[in-house]
Amino acid sequence: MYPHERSLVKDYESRPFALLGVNSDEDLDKLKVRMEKENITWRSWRNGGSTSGPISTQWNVSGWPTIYLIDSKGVIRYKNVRGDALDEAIEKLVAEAEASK
Amino acid sequence: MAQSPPDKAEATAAVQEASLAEQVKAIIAKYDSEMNAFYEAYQATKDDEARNDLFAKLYPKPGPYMERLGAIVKKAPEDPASLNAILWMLGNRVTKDQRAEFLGVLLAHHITADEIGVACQAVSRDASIATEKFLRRVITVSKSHEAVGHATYALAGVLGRRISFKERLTKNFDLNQPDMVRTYGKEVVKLCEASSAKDLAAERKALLETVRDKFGDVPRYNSTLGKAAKGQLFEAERLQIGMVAPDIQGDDLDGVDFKLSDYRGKVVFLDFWGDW
Repeated sequence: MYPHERSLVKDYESRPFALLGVNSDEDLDKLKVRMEKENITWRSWRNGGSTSGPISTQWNVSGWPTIYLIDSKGVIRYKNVRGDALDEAIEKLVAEAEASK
Repeated sequence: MAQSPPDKAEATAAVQEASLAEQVKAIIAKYDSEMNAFYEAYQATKDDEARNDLFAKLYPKPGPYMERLGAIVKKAPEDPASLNAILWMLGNRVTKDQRAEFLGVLLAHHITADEIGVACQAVSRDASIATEKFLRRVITVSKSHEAVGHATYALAGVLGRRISFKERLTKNFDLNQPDMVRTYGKEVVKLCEASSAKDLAAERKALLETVRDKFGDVPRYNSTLGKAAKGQLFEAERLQIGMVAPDIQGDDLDGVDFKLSDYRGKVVFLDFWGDW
C-alpha cells in the first residue's frame, strides 16, 4: 500500500487532492520511526491508539485498511476501491474538481 | 407415597449421557492441544519456508474431528453433548450443507437452550435460507435475552448481505457468479433478485434499532451488541455513496487538531490504516 500511496501523493502534488489517514497504531513512537523510514508524509488523525478508537468506531470500520473517496464537495463517492479502479476513480474526481473551479 | 426404585433405564441413560459429553469434550480438547502445539512451533519459526512447512505438517485438520463429532450428533441429536459438538463445529469451517444440517438439529432439539446465542454468533457471516430460518425461530421462541439479541443482530447481517448482493446484481454482475452460488446456494441468489432492496433495508434497520434499544447490553467480542448496532445504523444512514461525509475532528499524530471539512475543495482519499 505505501508505495502506491506515496506515488499518488507525488502525482497529485499540485492538484486538488489530499491523502488523509485515520491511524490506529498503539505505539506512537514506533509508528513515527516507521513513517520516517517509509516516507509517509501525509497527515493522519490518531484513532485513540487502537482499532476500536472513536473515529473507526463511529465510521463502523471493521477491516483494515478501509478506504473512502470523498469528492471536492464533501460527498462520499467510492468505498474500498483498490488498484487500477482506485487510480481511475481519483483521476475522475480530481478532474471534476478542477472543472468546477 | 412409596418411593419408586431407581429406574434402570434412566440410570443407563445418565451414564450414556455423561459418556457422550465426555467424548465430545475429549475430542475438542485434543484438537485444542494440537492447535496449541502448532502455535508454539509457529512462534519459533524463522522464515516463510519454515512456516509453510510447519503449516503442512502440524496444522490440525478439523476434518477428522468434525467426522467424529458429526457421528455423535447423528447418533444422539437431542443430547446436550450434541449441542456442544454443533456449537464447536459451527465455529470452525463447515460446508453449507453441514451448516444447514446442524442448524436443523438445533431447531429440532436445542432451540430453547441458553447457549443458542453462541450459534447465532457463529453463523452471523452467513446469508443462507437455513440460517435465516434458524435465526427467526430463535427470535420467536428463545427466552434467553442474549440469544435473542445475537439472533436479531445476526438476522440484520443476513439482510445486509442480501442488500449488497442486490447491488452487485443491479450492476450487471453475472447472477451465477460462482462465489455467490458456492457460498450461499442458487436459491439465495434467486431470493435476492426477487426481493426489494427497500424492504430489505427497512427490515434491517428495524432489527438494528431493536438491538440498539433492547439488547444494547449484550456482550459481543470485547464490545457490546449496542455499539455494533449503532455502528451499522450510522453507516446505513450517514456513510452511503452519495451522502455528504460526516465531519471528522481530532488531533493528528503530533497532537494538532484538524478537521476533514478543512479539505473541502479537494478530493480526499480517506484511509483507515495501521502499520501492521
